[in-house]
Amino acid sequence: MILETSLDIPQPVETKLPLNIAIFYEESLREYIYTENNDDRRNWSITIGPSQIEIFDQILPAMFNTITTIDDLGEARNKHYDAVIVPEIKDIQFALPYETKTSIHETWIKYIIHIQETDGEFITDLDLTGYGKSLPNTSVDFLLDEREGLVISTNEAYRDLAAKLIVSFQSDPAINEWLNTKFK
Amino acid sequence: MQTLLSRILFITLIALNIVACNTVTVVDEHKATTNIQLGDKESIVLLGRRHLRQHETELDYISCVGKQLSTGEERINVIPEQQFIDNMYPYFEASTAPMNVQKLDKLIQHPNVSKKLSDYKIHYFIWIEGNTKTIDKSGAISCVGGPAGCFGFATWQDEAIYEAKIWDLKNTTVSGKIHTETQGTSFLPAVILPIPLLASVKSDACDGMASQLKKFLN
Repeated sequence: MILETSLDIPQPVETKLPLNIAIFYEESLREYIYTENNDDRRNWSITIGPSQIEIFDQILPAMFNTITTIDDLGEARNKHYDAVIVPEIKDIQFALPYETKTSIHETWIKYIIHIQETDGEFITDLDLTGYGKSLPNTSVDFLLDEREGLVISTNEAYRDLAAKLIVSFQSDPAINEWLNTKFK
Repeated sequence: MQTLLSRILFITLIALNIVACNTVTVVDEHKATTNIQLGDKESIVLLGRRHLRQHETELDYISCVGKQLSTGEERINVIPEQQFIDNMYPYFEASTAPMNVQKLDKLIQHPNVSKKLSDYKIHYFIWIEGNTKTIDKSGAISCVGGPAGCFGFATWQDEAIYEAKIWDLKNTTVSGKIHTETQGTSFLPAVILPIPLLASVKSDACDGMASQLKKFLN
C-alpha cells in the first residue's frame, strides 16, 4: 500500500508571542516515509514528510511575530532571531480495526520539538504525541478501502499534534521562564 | 404447520411489543445559583467531553440535544459543536479543552479568544459527559440459508448515562448540573425472519436531557 497523507486542519486563533523565530527542518523530517512490510501490512509506504512541513508552516505564523525557515542551523547565528525551533519526528504508529477489535483506524505521531537559542543553547524540548482516529460509522467503507481510514486517522493525529504544540508553547514552564527572563 | 408458526410469531410480537421498547429515564438536577438568565440574543454552546478514549460522548448525542434545544417552544440559540471547535482551534480540542471554569477563565484572558466568544454572544457553556452502552445481553439466533430462515431469540439491555455541567461564561462560575440515566431492553425474536424491537435508549436520554436543560435555562 502506497499512501500520501494530506493536511486539513483549521486556521488557529491568533495568540501571537512577540518573538521572531527561525525554523529548521532536518532532511530526515522533510523526507520521512513510514515503511513496513510483514504478513499483515504488505509493502506499506506512507509519505509523511510534506504534511509535517505543512503543519508548521500553517500554525507557526499564528503563534509568533515572524517565522523564517533556515536551511542550516549555522544560519541562525548572529541573526536577530529570538529562538530556533527544530522539530524531530520520533515515531509513528498505526492500529487497524482487526488488530484492536474495534471499528476504527488509529494513528499516533510522536514528536520532540527542540527549542534552542540561536547559538544552539538548549531552552527546552517539548515531547508531544498526536492521536487521531477514524469515525466508527464510516469504518465499514474502510474494509473496502483501508487507505481512507488511515488518511482520516492520520489527519486527526496531525490536528491533535498541532493543537498540543500551540497550547504547550503557551503553558510550558521552561518556555515561560525563558520568556520571563527575556522580557524582564 | 405454517399457520401455527404464524400464530406463534404474531402472539410473540404482541407480547414483546407490550414489554419491549420501554425505557426508563431518571433526571437529577442541581442548581448552584438561582440567577440563571439567557438573553434573547445570547447563545449557548454544547460540547461533548472526549478526553478519555473509551468514554467519549457521542457526536450524534450532542447534535440531538442541540437540535431539540433550538426548536419548539422557548427555543435557544445553540452554536453547532463542530463549527465552534473549528473556529476556536486549538483551544477546544479533545486534548486541550478547559476541564474547569478556572482554566476557562485563564483562556479568555487571550484577547482574540475572548473576542471570538463575544462575537458568538455565548452566555453558557454546557459540557456533556457520558455515553450509551450495552450492559447485558443474552439469547442466540441461528440462521441457515434457504427457505428455513432464522430461529431463536436475543435480548440486550442498554444504559445511557449523561451529565451536563453548565458554566456561566460571564461570571466564570458553575451554574449547575443535570444528570440523566436511561435504561431500556431490546428484543430480537426470529421465527423465519428476525424482527428487531428496539428500545430507543439514547434518543430518550436526549429527550430527557434537552427538556431539563430548557427548563434550567428558561
